[in-house]
Amino acid sequence: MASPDTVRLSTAAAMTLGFQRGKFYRNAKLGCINLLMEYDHGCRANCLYCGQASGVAEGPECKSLIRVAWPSYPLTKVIAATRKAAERDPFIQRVCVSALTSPEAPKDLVRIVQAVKAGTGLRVSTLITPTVFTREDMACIRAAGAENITVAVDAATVELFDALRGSVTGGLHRWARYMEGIADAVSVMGNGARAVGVHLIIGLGESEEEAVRFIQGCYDRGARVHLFSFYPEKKAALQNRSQPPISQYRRIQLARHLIDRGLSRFDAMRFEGGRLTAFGLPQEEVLAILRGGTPFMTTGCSGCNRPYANETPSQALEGKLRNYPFAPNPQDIGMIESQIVERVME
Amino acid sequence: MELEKTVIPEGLRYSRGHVWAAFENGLCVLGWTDYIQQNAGDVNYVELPEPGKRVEKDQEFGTIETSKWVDRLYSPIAGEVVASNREVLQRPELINQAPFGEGWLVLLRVDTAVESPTLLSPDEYAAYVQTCEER
Ligand code: SF4
Repeated sequence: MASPDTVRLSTAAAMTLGFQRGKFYRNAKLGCINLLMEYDHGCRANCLYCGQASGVAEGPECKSLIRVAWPSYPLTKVIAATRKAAERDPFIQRVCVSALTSPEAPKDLVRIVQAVKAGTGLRVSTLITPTVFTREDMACIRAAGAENITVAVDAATVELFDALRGSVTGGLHRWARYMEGIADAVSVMGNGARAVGVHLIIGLGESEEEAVRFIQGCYDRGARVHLFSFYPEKKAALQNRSQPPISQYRRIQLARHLIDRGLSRFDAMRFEGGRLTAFGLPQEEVLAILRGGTPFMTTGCSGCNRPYANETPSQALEGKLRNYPFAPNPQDIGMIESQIVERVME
Repeated sequence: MELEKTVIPEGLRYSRGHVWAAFENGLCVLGWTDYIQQNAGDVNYVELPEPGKRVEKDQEFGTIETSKWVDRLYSPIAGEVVASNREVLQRPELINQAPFGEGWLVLLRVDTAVESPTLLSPDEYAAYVQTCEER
């Protein structure tokens, strides 16, 4: 069986839909049901940080992706369970369908989007790769009912992209096509509609300056950035690489928030040796925004909160929750403040 | 005793933190109950104390983590750790597969031969689990 008849579900989604037992630390709830397409031949790309890269995944067996297993289910069963779960709990607002790098993916994704939309009535996001999705494919995705198209660029610079996903790895992806793909998606979904996203993973080897420059560039192209913190996937080529320091991630979260809300820009921020040292706003304003907590909540299409996708629950217990799936409480804010300030003062 | 599909063996004592205790000759084995292992999901990490360490009543003796959840383990009784189950450190799934068998957690030499009065009998624990379910 393969997509569009079957899809893989994130562990969090499988738990939320009642297919798998388990509970969420701090009673977090899942706002977006994440589906992943699947094929017998697996993913054709070879991204070195990914658990389903062709070089490590052994065919369709996607052992782990963003930290957890992704069990396979029939699409019809997933749609029925999603509809029921969303009727019970309005916190579930969205379904996200991630495409694999495969030539059949565009037509199959359109069918999945149509079925999900018709069967659940929820908002639908799609996560695509411009390597196999053309501008016309994106138009079909929109026509099928998707409200969002997100491009998983992941790496902040062309050099890192090539080294981790592109020519250097023998992979299919090319930076130039990805940049063009963002523009295609914006032209299809509408400039200013905030309906195009770009996934960026922090901790792949970029400096803070490079990350923020990339984030600004995405906003200037009409796309929003959804942040991820690198987590070493078991069996992936980068499995021994460390997570980025939490202080670095916090600064990027804050910078991204300020750019997203139009409160600051890359050129107004200051960097020393690649590290972010000033956010382009008076310090008391930055502090007030930081203490509001919003910059540190999961960023993404509305409703998408990905609980514990970038850290283990044990790390969350130690106060190292990278993306808060709920509003941080006063203790969390105190911890966040110490994490940012501690390093800025060094 | 079985509550729906939750197994609550006779002959054991239970804490409100869902730890079971088996007493014999001044020793006590602690483990995670079937109810909590079913609810929390697949265990993928557990941290346990080294032999020789003292554990106080109601104090933390380890942590346990599933895919999306984590909690501290609290000892219902004071004593000294005689052994920790090395096997579950390597294969945490044993806690799901055999919570009252191969999935045991620690063996303590307890300070007093008297069982802690705050521990629940199987019937009391079954009633407590029911209230947890209704919450
Ligand atoms: S932010 Fe969430 S919903 Fe949007 S594309 Fe990314 S994973 Fe999907």
